[in-house]
Amino acid sequence: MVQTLHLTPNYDAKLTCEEGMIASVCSWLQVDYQMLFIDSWGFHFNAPTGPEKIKLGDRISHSTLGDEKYIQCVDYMKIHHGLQIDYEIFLTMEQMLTSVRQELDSSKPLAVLTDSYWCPWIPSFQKQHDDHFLIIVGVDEADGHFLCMDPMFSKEVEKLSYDFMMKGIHGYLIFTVQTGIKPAWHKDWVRNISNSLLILNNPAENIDVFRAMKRLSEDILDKFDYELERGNDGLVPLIVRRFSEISKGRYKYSELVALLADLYNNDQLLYFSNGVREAGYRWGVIQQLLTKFMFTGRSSALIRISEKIAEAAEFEKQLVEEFQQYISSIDTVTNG
Amino acid sequence: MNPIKQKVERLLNDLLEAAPDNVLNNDLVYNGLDSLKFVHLLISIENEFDIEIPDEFLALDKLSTIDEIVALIERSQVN
Repeated sequence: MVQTLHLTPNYDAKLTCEEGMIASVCSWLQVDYQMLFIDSWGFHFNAPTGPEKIKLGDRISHSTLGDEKYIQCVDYMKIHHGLQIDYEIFLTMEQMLTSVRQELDSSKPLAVLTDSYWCPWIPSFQKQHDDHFLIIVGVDEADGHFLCMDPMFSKEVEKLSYDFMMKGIHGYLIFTVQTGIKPAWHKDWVRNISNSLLILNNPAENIDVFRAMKRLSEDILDKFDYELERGNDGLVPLIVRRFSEISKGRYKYSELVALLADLYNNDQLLYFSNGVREAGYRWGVIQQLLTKFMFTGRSSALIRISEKIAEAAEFEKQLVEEFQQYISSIDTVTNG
Repeated sequence: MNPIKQKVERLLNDLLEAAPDNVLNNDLVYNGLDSLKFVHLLISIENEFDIEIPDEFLALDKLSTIDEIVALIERSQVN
């Protein structure tokens, strides 16, 4: 017997595989997920820790979360969107099949944390080991395979044999919508947005990430080592990937603010959403310009990259300050 | 067919390692172009047409179709 849910995945290339998986499952369950992006407008540029030369790419990040991101996603979905995500460690195929049957009978997909090494439709199949999330939308027990959706790598429903599933799987996720909590997440939006902006600009704590952006714009000119940054592993250079993450993070934050603007029919929030989107676009251009430089080696591009980072810093600082003023005015109205 | 468009399609098919007569969709992403390949394409276009594409068009969302690329090349050649 074959069971299938006709789920439409979220193919947004700006999402990570876990975000794409959660967004797709949430669309099916009709649950919002945008609070996942509350931390995604960020920037960090660490000072070098010693005299040895290190890549600029190693010193840049767009978020402090790092490996904690998955745990944070689960917490945020529960706290803000009322979606409980339970992680079950894979023990036996029979136990997993019982869960799969049970969830599909309730019209709910499951997600699997697996090793992309065992997913035949992924370019790194049997070449490279990486953690990867898939959505199980069906099972064909007669033929011995799962029907999976992979928003990051495929637009088809993919078949994954029991054998490959057992070889790659770490565990699977079960989703439960907590009734009564669903609409609550945006009640706290003023505080949540306010806190997320303080991570960027908090004069009381001497936090100003835009100073760090300006430092990067200077270091790009003084400390950029072409060979070191390019590396010799054949992969996209780390600094290019970091700029891509910075750009995508801003687009995601913009999506969150756009949802709030829509919920509250608020033109001011739409203005800020568009501003953060513009910030994402600016970093996208910086990323592409750097990619072009890595291919061509034309040093005039580095000067333009440096100027554009300094301009992005100015633009974002002004936007954050305006946004903070607006949030404070709402806070005053709410509390008054 | 517009000769500029023909050349752009040839460059795109070369990049995608497709046959020269491969029929392309006007939408670049639909053809399988990611941001990395997009930069490759723009570098090839700059070399082929001896133009410099302005930085603001380096993002795929500002230059998302073959027709938009052709129009940009035509404008660059006039200037």
